[in-house]
Amino acid sequence: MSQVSIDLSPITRAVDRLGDQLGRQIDSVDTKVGVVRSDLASTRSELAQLKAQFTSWVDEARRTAAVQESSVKLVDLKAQLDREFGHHGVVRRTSTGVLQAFDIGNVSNETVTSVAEELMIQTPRYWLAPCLVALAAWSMDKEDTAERSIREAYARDANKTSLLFALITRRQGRADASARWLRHYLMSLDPTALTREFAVILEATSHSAFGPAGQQLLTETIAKWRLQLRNDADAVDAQIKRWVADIGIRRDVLDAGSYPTLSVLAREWPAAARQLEQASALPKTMDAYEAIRDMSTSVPLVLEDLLDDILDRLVTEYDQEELPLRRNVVYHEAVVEERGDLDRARFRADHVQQALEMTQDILTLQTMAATNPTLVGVGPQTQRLMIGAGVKDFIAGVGRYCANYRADAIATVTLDFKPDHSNYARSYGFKGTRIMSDTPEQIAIKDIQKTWDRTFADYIASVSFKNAWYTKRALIAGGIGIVVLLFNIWAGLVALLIGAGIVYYLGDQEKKRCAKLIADAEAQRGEAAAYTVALYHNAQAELVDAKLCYEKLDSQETELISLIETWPTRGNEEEL
Amino acid sequence: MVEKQRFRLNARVGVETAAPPAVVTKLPPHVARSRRATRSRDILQAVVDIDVATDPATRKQLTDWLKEAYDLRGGGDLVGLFAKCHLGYPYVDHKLAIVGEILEHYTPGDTVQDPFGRARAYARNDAYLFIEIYSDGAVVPVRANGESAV
Repeated sequence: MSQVSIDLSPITRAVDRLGDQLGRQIDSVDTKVGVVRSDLASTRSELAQLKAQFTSWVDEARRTAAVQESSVKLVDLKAQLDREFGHHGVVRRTSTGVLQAFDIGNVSNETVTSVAEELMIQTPRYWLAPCLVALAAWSMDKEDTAERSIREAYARDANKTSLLFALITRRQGRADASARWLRHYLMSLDPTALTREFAVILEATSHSAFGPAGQQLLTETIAKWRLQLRNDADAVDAQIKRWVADIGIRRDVLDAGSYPTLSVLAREWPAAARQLEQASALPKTMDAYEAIRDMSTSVPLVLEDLLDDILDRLVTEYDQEELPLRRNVVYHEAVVEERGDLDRARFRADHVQQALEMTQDILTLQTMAATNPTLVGVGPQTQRLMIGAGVKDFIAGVGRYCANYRADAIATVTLDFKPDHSNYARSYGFKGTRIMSDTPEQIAIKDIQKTWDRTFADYIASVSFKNAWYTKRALIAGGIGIVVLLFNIWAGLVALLIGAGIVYYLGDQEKKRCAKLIADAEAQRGEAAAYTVALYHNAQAELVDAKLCYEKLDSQETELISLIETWPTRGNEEEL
Repeated sequence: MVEKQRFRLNARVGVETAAPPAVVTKLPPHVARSRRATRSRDILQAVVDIDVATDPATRKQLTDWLKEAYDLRGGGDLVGLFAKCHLGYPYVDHKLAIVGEILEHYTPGDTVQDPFGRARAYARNDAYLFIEIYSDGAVVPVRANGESAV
């Protein structure tokens, strides 16, 4: 029997070469996979950062756009006001001019008459024009024209005409006529639905512009009305609400960047931020009202000047036709003021626009004069008096404002460590855990540690080498070997040998790869947990900080109340 | 001021101007008026004393007196009081139910049943000495000077 010897050495060499080559390639692929993995992790975190930046940018852009839009609209609206009602301005200026010309006596009555008559024709429907004609006719002793003009003015706007002549007769030193006009005016009023020009009465009362008799009539009437209305609990409640809103629009906006960790981890963060923001209104309100209290105002010393100022207000501030436009102006001003935050602008405008209602009850008018003097049309002196009249409601408003946010005060927060709270957490599939802020530190840290231990145990179990890896590959290699075996027994044996070699070699590489992943994970185990613990510590520190800030802001309620209680012009009427 | 620096442009939230839901109850005017009236010095003192009274007899005496004092005030039917607890750790607050004279101290982890539960956030705040709970559901925080805060 001839012996057949087969030299297998070239095949073995070839297998070795192949193995070497394969090994090198696997190594390089492994490195590349590692690089890709770390690239992917950093891309993910960069993407998260980018998303946050983008969201805040979109928000910022939206607000900037809103501010710009409102600024443009404001210019438009003011132009429209000027276009539609600008010609009233001429009549207004002329009325004061005429009175001053009468004082000096340097203008002929004919000129006054011709100017007045011209304006009468140029400004149809405007109540002030016939008043001017009446004044001119008065100076010319034309009783008939004067009477007809007054009747027309009265038909156009009864309240303002009465008030105007009460002021003018007072200015001309006719006390009786002035008192009669005033009484006439007051009689026609309903304290639950005062028209806007009543603010002039508040202004005149605060300066005693109507003289002793008029002053007494006015203070008595207002006191009587107040008492009558304050019996209605709803009317009083409405005033308290106005004061609450007035405090509310002063609240600041919290920058989430000042509590970077807490704002991300704490589940209750929106509520906590709201609480801080609401408390921030207290010092702001105090600053604002201290400034009002300490503001020095100059009151005209000559009665004529004072009355001219009041007359100016009467003829400029309270024309109802302008109200819809002025309400729009208020809204867009609020948008600019709140720097594009439309929700807050709406809240501010809703409150402020109440000053531009057609009719108001005496309590509301006084509260609005105290909180929004410019829109109501009164000066700082009157504002101070009106705050004094509303001391009780203001204090109740402060109490209610504070009680409202304190009712939802948060004592503890839940720190939510989500599966993506850090890069480590994302890479190793962190299980997630929630820790109450009042959990003792040791227990909390132990909890974090345990969660990380579980995370790593699962991760290591998922990446560790399993013998099942061999089965599939051995079956394929075996299959090929058997097929070849069917053709040639030797070639088949060789194929089986080569297959076994390759499978063994690849298995070895895979084992190394798994071992490396495990080693990496083990190396980062400590760092990963330490990072989460550091976040926990930061969040706790920020929480302490936030609580201190809140307590400091919140405690200013007492100071604010004492500021109101000691208000210099506090009304002494004992009310319900 | 540090507080001022912390605030800048961002979020949006409204402000509730109505009275807290817990205090909105339609009361006859004279009851509402009496409820708003300042609490007497004796009432305030009695509430403070109850917290530190360890002797059941003294406590009963004080509770009875309080019940009577509140009846006389005419500000509605008082169910009980809730206040910050000065016993120290682990207790933070306690309730004093007038009916049944139950004094219960709570730790932060305890759940307080309504209507007393609604007074908890107020009890944490130093601005209020104690909180009254009425049978009509009203929860009224009272300042240290005896004035109702809402």
